[in-house]
Amino acid sequence: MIKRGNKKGQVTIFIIIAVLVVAIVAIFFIFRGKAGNESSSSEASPIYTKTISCLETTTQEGAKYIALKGGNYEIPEELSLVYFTDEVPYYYINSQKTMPSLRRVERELEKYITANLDSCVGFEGFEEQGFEIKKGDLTVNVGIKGKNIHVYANYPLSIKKGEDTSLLGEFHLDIASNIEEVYYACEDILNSYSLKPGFVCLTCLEDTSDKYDIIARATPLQGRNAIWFSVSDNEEELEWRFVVEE
Amino acid sequence: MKVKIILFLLISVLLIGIVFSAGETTTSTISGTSGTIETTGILKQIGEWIGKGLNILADGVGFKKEGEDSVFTFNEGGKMNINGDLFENIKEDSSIKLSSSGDIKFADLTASDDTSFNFKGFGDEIKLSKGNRLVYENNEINIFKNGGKETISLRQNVFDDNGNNIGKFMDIKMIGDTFNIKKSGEGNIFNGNFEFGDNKISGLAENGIGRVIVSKKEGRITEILGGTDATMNGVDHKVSSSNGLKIFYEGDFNPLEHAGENYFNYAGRDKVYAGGSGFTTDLTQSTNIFGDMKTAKVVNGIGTKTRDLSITMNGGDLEISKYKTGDSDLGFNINGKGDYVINNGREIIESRDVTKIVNGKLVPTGESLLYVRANDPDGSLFSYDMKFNDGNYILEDDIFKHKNGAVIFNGKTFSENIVYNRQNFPLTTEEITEIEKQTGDDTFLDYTYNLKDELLDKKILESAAKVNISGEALFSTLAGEGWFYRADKDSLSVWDKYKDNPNQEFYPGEVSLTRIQGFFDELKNRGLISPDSSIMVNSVGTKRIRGEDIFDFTAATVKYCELLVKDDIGEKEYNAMTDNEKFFWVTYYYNSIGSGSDKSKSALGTNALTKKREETYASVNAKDYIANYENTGEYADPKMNAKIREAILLGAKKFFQIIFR
Repeated sequence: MIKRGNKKGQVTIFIIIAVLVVAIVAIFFIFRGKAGNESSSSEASPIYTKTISCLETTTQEGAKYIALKGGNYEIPEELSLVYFTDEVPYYYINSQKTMPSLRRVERELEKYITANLDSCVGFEGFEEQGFEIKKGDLTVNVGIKGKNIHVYANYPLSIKKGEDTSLLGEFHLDIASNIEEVYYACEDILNSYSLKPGFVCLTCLEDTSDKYDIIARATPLQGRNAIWFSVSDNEEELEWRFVVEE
Repeated sequence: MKVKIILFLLISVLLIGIVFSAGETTTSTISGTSGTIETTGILKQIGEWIGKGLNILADGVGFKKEGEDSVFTFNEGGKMNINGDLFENIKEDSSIKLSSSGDIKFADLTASDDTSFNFKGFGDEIKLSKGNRLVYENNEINIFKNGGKETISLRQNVFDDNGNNIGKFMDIKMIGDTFNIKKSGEGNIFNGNFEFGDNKISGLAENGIGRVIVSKKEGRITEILGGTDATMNGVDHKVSSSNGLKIFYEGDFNPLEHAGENYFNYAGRDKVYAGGSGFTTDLTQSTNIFGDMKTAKVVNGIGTKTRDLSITMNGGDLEISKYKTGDSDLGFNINGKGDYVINNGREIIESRDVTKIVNGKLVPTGESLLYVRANDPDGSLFSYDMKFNDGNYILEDDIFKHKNGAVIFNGKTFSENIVYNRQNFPLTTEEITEIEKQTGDDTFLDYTYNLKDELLDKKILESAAKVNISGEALFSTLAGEGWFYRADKDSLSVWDKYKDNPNQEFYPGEVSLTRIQGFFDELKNRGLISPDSSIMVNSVGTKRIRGEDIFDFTAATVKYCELLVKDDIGEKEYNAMTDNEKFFWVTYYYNSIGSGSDKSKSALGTNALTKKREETYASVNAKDYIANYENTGEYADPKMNAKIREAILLGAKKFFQIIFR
């Protein structure tokens, strides 16, 4: 037998659950744009916006910068060659492959972002506008996967303007980039070089270009048995350089 | 009666002598196993003594039997007629061994005068000069120069249907002391180091000998045997394969019919086939094959360069034909498969078969990989244009491109890239804007105005080469001096003024005579400018520099600064510097000279950039700087002096980026 009183109680429970679900969804959407921030207010929003924007810009610039230096923020001196005014890392020398791992490239990009984010944000300018900003240590984690660079920055910022104090902390971004494909294209080129040091395999370069949709160029350096490789994505936005020497 | 008989005999002997002396032969009967036929000038029939029914005559020889064979040793003036062939002008102690059938089994003959020997059984006639020695045995002839002339003549006997010998004499010039001929099928194997016709044959190895097979009928080389370096009509074949290299002359040559052989074919002037392995063929001088092949070419803005073309077969097949390039120069279509190497002097292009393991064995996949490497460290050569693999890859002006136009391999030198990019890639508006933005001035925009100025490149490169500095160093220095700068497009840069008027004088009145003269003398003392140089010309109260000499003068100054840096910090320290550091310090010293420091005074520029640098960094020199900072670790820090370095290099950097686009 079914009792009417029980049915009414069930409806109430359903209504409460529905209200809770709606509330949770609403809270999610409200705070989604500020995910990771311990506390925020509209006063901090220009700094948040500038920081997240600079994180994107600095990451993109950093990707280009370290690509030109063969995946390095600072090239190990013992593994670099100065070609006119460009410092380029060796990927093959003394019969050894010295290409950095993709993990290492991520670390180098982290270094670049850490070193250059502040100058992009320009905290001094905000301070002139009356913000009091206390900065904690910036830590950056970068993951390169597929067509994206995943950036996570932990940058504790205490922002005070007037009586309001806001806290910002974590910043996440996914930035579209061909850096992984260019990296693996370079690895392919290096592997084909190491099979026949001293020579550039034209056929292999063409295959690699097709496989990764990149543009690869080789320039022998006069007076030495070194070859300078330049590998760009198809839009030529990212150029990766390295040198091999027999 | 007795007297009559004796008289009759004497008259008979006399008559017989007269009869046979007229034909230089006589009959004579010799017996026993040895003896001597005195030299009388009259050949005596000795055929029966050698074998039944033989027609062999001799004069002035010793003879003896060795079993069935007969051995003749020549005395002075001795000669023999063997089956109609006369052997004369032979030095004493020479010898011939005949079989019982009258065939020559062995001969060791030294010519006492120019002579010829026809070895019918062997099939050749040989002319020797006085002193030459010939040894024949077992169908093989060895010739020793032995004090005689280096040239012998050989006719390989070839008879037409009527029995006429249509073989022609060929002169063979011995390069070594010996020459050897062996029978081989339809031809002879020539062994030794020698020349004949347009052919030169030698051994590949040091002290080795060359070996070729020469056809009897045409008298031309049909095969080059292993270990031989054979140059034929300007085509040099170096053959290491023990299988040799067969040479074909047919116009309808089909390489498919020669699979597995080592072959080289050319017929006409347009195409070459080569296949097999173990040989290298150099076509550089092969004007007979590619008649319009020019081994030197004037390269715009650079000068005349030489070219090369050789192929090495390592197990493949190759077809080379010619085509005309855009500037009517000669280019080559290269189609091949398997393993081969093409060396054009400038680049080495190598094709390699891709193999895979099937059932434990390496088998070819039918695909080839094409490799390239630069092979001209000093950039003194130039390559022919080439198209590879049905035009999939194009080598043009030392740049390899895919057929879709994508550059894959840029084999140009720095200097050549300057010219090439000036001619092919004018600066875009965006680039000009970017340079202005980055450099803070438009000093480098001058390159835009001089994009096609090959004369400028040539002058700079020549002046740089005179004092052994790099073209880019001089280029950058001149640019820093504002040599190519003009404030607006309606005015003229210094270069613009100079190039139309080489006698234009510069720096008049700006610098005192003493300062210029002192510095000029210093350059002379250092040997950087010729003591007879007339770079400086007198004017009223000043010294001036002629425009056409300014590049030499500036190059000498840059070199002088390099020497000053070396003097100050020591050559070892200098050599240990990176290129970047060297560039920095030489430029720094250069600017110090201009500032009027304790270095010799320069007449060189005082443009805004230079002044700015000098004001900031005037009174240091490399030695002091290193002494002050070497213990701080800053000197080794590549980031040290980043601002100085960047200020100096920024302009050049942008320029290089443009160059290496």
